[in-house]
Amino acid sequence: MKSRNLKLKTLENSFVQEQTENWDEKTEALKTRRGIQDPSKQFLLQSVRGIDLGNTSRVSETTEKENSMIDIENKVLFPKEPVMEECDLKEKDNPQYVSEYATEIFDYLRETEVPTIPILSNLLGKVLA
Amino acid sequence: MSKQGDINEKMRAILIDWLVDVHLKFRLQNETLFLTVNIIDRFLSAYQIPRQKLQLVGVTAMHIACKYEEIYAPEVKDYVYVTDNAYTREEILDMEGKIIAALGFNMTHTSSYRFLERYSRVHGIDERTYYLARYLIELALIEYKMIKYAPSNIACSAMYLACKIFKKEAWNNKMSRVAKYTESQVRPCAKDLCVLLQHASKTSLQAVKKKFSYEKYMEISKIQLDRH
Repeated sequence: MKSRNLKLKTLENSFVQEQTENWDEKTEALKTRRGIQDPSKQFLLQSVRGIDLGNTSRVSETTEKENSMIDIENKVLFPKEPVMEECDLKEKDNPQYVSEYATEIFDYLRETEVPTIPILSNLLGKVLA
Repeated sequence: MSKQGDINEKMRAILIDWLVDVHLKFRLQNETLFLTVNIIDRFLSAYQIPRQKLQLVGVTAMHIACKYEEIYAPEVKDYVYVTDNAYTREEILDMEGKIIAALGFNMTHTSSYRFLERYSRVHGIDERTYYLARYLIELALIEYKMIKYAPSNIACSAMYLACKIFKKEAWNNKMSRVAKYTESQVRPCAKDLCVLLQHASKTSLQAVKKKFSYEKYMEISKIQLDRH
């Protein structure tokens, strides 16, 4: 009976251990996928996203691999660096003004204004012809 | 698609001139007026209507534009009142359905006013020049020939002409970059606007001129133009 209990106990322990190992592996894999498995990368990611945590000493530790990660991140999060006009820079801290997108928004509006321009030949055509 | 047989550009101008008055009376947003005119033009380019219904199209377009832009839109009975009971509530609601169906529920339109706001900010023009440019784009609303220009081009040209009148720097690389027009693309429209401005006091349609003669708009329509 005692030996059976011991056996069960060891089995249980090994299961728990296995589970924990699996869990660690999974978290590690997840972190790697998101590129935040070590603090230096975490800092880079945060600085790319514009959040400063004050860990500036880590910048020098960037490797080639890490730089490529930033590129991938940039492609996903920021297609290109927003071009800001002088007048938009004044409103940089005003979230309602969305100044970093102003140029893009008006480029888009320039493209989409065409379909809503009335067709002149159809409108009062008889008079102007 | 059909051309209008019963309506001419003079009737359109009278309608819009009256709508400018109504817009002022109801104290609506600036954007609403521009959207109203756009809705009228798009509807008229798609459907033939008799001249008796033109005012109905006008007030209904304003009703739709108000629903789109305003926080406190006027009620249908207010439109019945401004037309002096020429149309009933049912007629306005019926026309509303027709207009919306004709436009395929696509109400979004970027007006010259919206572009002017942006360009004047980028160019950094003063208030007086801005109001003159505003006056010019509202004069352009009434004129049928100005429909051929894109709203962004009208806004650019209005600002260009206003700067020229007040002897300011009218064009630079920054404006070319932002507006995506060259000076030569802006000039023809600016010339047409200049003609409109010169004839503004001679026409019988005075709603826009009267509106911009108020103190709120720095009495900009009262300026005397140099002849050169």
